[in-house]
Amino acid sequence: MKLKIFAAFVFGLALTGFKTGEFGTVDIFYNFETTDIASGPDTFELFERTSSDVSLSSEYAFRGAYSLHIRDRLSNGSFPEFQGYFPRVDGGIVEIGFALMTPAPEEPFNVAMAGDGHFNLSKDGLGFWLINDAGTLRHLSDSIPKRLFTLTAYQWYWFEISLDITKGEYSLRINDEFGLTLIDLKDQKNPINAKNSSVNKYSFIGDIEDQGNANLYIDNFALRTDYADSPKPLLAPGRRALFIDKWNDYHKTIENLDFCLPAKVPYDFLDIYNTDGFDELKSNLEVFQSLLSSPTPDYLASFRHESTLLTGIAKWADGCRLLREDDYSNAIKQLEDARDFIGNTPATQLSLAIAYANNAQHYAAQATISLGQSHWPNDTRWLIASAATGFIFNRIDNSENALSSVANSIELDQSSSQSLMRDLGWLRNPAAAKLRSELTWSPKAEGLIIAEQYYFSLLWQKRYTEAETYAQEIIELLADFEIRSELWIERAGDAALLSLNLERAERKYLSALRYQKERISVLQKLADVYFLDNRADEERRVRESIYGALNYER
Amino acid sequence: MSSREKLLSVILALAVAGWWVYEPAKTGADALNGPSELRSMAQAKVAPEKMELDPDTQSRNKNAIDALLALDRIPVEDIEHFGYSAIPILTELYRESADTRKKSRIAHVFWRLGWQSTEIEDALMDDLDAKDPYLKVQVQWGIAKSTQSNKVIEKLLHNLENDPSPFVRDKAACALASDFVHISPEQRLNIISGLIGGLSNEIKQVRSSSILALKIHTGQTKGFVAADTLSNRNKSIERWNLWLTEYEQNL
Repeated sequence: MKLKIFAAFVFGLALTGFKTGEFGTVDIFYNFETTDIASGPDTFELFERTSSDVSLSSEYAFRGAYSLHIRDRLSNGSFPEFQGYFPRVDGGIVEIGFALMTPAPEEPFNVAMAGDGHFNLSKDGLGFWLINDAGTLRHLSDSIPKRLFTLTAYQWYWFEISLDITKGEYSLRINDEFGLTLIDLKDQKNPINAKNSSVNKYSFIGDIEDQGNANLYIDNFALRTDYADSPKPLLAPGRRALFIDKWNDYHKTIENLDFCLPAKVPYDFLDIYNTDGFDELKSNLEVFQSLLSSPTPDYLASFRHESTLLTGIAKWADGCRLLREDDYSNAIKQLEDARDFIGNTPATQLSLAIAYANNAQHYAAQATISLGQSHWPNDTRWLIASAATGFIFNRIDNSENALSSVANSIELDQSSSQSLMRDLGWLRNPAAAKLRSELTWSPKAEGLIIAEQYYFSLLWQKRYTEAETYAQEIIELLADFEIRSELWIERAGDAALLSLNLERAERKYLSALRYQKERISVLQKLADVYFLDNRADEERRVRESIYGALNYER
Repeated sequence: MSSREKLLSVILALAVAGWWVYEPAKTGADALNGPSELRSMAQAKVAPEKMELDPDTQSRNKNAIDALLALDRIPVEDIEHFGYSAIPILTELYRESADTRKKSRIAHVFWRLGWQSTEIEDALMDDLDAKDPYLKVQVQWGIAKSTQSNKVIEKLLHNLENDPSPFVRDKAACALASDFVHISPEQRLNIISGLIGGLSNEIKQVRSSSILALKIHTGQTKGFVAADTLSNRNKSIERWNLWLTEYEQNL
């Protein structure tokens, strides 16, 4: 089944009179004729500032009455951009087509596609890049900015790009507005000449360093992809999953807490200094996959390979097997061995945290989680590990104990605990995570972490009402020490949202926003609340405050 | 680890492993990090050749800037407020000082400012051969960020391959990877060509620094591993040279 966003759309090329070529089903199509398209984390986002603009313009259009207008101004501190999202594609073909026109060819602009590595020259970074270099259009292939042609002002161009993700190549065809083919290139290497470099976003932007006056019109954008597994459909405006669904997904995946969290991508086994590991895994793909697919003890025992990386992964797999068999001390030994071989990677560290926790090595588990959070602050699996360890430690058997541990920690050293409490509460804040990693473990710090873990363990057990009550108690406790914690207010709101008490969730989120009005995580979940409460206008207002609103040009 | 080493590590980490940043809300402007000739065109902040101020103002400004330089953490933003008139003052202070620490701090300020100026280049040039490695490294960075000179490029490539200090060699590679923001595409080609030359160096560390800098420029290693066998390294260098020819043809 294919991703359908606007299934009823007719592909732009058909309207233009150009040959439709190999394009088939349209997955995403924007003709920019209406403001009634939803921005969001899974559709598109507008980046603009005061004097710049990303809007729908009736001044020029390739077809229809409107086009997307991106207008930048020199040195105004802004980078107007239209950035679109689609589910990650890590193999097969992605095809895009769009019409583009500029009245100012000398002003720089960029059109790019990228993956989770963002718009960098790296694996899963830039997958395609068009550059307007002072009127000369170039494409970056094999790290070389190759000349295409000189742009003409007020001339619409039609672009067709077909990315072969598996091969790391693309074809590029550019027609003028009369249908004349100007460029027809095949088998072009992608920007870093890398196979299997995934993509999940595209961008139309002016210059990169705020030194230009880009004036760019885009029309009839279309994107088509194939997926082996059907991506989730859009569940709410602009998004495929709500915050609440993410939690539920984790519940489905992990029913017990005595096994390794699933490794997601090859990079889970590469430390940040391992620049060649991906190629190594790729060239030994079958062996790598065999190690990830629950290998038998015999296979692992007899596993021999010249690759240090694969040997380390085999040890990791064996450690995970031992963890599942509740042989915690041997699991730790194997996982620590794996770490010696492949370094501090998400896979080794997450697994070790769970193993330490199961083996009642409280400090080791906490230190491992803290280190992991500081290295990979945006990886939500650390939240799961944190919750898992909190759940495992039976020492926290009721909220009263957990509360008293917080209170004790504050009583130990009130002067420093205020800032500590404030920072430590920011579980997903990289700076706080770093601070935490540098802490010497003390009863004080431990108490604060325990409070956090207890909250997550309640969520884990779907004891949402208790979690909300507990968060509220923490808020009140902190208030006694004149500490205000937006995070714990947010957590109380989360628990209310998870229990589908929308009124209380809204109240909590609005309360958190009073202290920090642009807190994105709160705004996102508030949009969820309004969506679930069928308050479409409010949902749109809040969502567009984060992802931008596509309006008609004034 | 120095802040520059950290910076290089971060750049490398981003280049190699940006995948785990799950946050979608990152603009292309924040993240685009392409060929440096494109960035250099955009970042170029060229200082006028001469900045004339009346002697009283000049003297007052000099005292003020000198005081700022003495602070533990140099407030470069405050120096930036003086505009390009700060350049002759800073170069004068640099020349007057015999204190390598102070000279290093001024070179660091030039690096932070990133202003293209022959005046800065003239002041720092001689200290590309400074005996003090710390000063030398700061000068390498400061001058790279201020120059359009082929001579500086050649000197840094020379330092990368020949300086007796591994520290200086490595930091020359840092400058060659990221700091030449005012150069032309042809000059960038010279840097890349020089870095490819560094892949053949007998010292493993030079090869390692060279491939790291090349990776920052291009996102690629073309299979080069500094510790690999000579035969494998030569195969990779051959690929790099073929690529270089194609790059040259596209200029």
